[in-house]
Amino acid sequence: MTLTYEQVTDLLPAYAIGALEAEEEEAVEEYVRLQQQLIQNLTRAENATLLMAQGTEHAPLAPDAKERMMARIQADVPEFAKSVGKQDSTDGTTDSLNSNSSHSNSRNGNAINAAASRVANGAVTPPRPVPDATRMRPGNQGRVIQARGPRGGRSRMQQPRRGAARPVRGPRPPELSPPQPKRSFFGGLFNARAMTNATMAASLVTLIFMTLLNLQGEAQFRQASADLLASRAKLNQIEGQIDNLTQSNFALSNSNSELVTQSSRVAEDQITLRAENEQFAASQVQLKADLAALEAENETIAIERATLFEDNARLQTQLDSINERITLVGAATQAVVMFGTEEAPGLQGTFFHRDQEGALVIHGLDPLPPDQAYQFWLVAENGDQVSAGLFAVSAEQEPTWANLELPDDVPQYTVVGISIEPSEGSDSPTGPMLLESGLEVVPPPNTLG
Amino acid sequence: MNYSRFPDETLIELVKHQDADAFEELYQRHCQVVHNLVVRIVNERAAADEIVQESFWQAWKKAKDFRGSGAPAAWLYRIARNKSLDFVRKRKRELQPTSMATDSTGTEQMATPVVPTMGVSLQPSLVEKQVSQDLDRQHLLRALTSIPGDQRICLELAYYEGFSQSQIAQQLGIPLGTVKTRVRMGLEKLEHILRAAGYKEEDF
Repeated sequence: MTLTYEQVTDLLPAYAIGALEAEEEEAVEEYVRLQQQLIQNLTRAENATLLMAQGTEHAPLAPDAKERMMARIQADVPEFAKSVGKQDSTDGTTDSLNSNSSHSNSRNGNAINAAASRVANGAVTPPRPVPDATRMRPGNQGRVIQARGPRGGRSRMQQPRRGAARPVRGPRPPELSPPQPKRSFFGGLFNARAMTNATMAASLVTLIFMTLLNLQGEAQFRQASADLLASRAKLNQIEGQIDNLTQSNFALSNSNSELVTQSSRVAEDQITLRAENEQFAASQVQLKADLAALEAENETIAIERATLFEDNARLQTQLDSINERITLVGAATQAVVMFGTEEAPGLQGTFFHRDQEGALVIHGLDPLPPDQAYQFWLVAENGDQVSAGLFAVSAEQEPTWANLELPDDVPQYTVVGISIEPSEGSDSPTGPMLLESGLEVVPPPNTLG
Repeated sequence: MNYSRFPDETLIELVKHQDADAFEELYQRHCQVVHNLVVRIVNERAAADEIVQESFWQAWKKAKDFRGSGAPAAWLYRIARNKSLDFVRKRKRELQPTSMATDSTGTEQMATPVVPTMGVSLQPSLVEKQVSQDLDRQHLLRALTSIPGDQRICLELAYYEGFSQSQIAQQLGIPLGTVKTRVRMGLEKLEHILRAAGYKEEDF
């Protein structure tokens, strides 16, 4: 956004009070910055132009040029600005009242006389008033005495020394044209034609006295001027330091803001971490509960497994038993079917044996109380009854299986039977036969002996 | 009080308060260069003396007008240059009342010329050593002659003869744009020389 001078001028108040849009604000600042840049460039170019002046060929100066210059300057210096120390540095060839080179008493007399003669000639108008008597200088005596107002008087005095033609004078300083009409106290003194020596002496003494006073004031002024310049330089330096400190302050406050931001970020992170931590703790509790549950389950499973092992063992035992029985049944040399007697007509079973190993399978037997047992009998041909074993009946197993060990020396038997006896068995049946069976006497085959 | 250790800026400040000794120091420092410059422009010794005096007198009276931006020396030189050019123009009018403003070289010589006119290469003058600016004179000598001739002529016509850019173009028979370019580039070379001589921005 490029602005013209008029536009910027219009925007300035709003800018100063901070009421511009960001875009306008930037445009105004850019314009101002360009102006400053322009001024810098101008200063640089102007200073480069210095070389045009310095690069000119040397031309010899007139030897008295400086002297004439300073004489003119000194004549124009008001009251106090002439230095005491410089008075001896200029050439003493001046014979005019403008000279500041001499402060001898004889010169005072000359000056006064010269002034008096000039006043007598009416060539000069009354002198300018001295604004402050304490600011007079020794050299001022001549000036005060002479007509100081119109420059024509001085230039006329200077003219004899100028020599060559002066075709051009510069424009006259404005204060030179009108003559000063006012009369000073001293002018009044010296303007009188009838002046007594006593009056002159008195005024001289006064002049000298005031000059002495002025000397001190002048030196003080000098000192004050130098002090002022030194103070100004010091002030600039301090302002520079203030700028530096302000910049440092700004940088520090920037760093501070950054640190505050970081600190708040850290605090946020801390809060987040704390929340996560709580979550972890909750999970941990949950996990512990799960673990306890799993362990309980594990125990249960272990118990079940033990139970299963037991069942397995039991079943294995049963299986073994059943296998044994199947084997026995498969390998039996004799099988006798037994039927229930009148005492227990519903019973039925089979007796297998191979040599001394025997087995019974009975259907429908009920379990007995603990003090009773079933007993298996072999009945020989001669009527001897030999016990062939006791067995029990369990309610879960139907039919009842029982393994028997037959005695070795059992005679040939023709009848087998089962009766209920006391639990420790009997030598011969005491109860009725529940099952009975007759069988053929079959001699064991030779191959099986 | 020893004024020679004060820089120009301080002296001009004191001159504003009509310190004649400060003025004397300034005069002592710059009168040679100002004199050289005036002589170069007006080509008359006697007139030059007068103009130098008037220039310094104006500096004395108008010190309050110096606003502190740029070197006081530049301000002095500008006063002297303006007065010199005024003198030259007035002299031309007095001698040739019917002549056009864009007359030939504009270097009428009433008295014995002190320096040749155009085409002279820039030569460094015997500048008084200034308090805060130590010029390496030899380097400066060589540096000034390093500005190309066509640019140098344009600078000289503008500065010493007081011609406007269009007048220069007419004189040399070249386009105005070319003159502007040469003036700009010549001034850039001057800046470059100054910077190479060790000037910093704040020295001005």
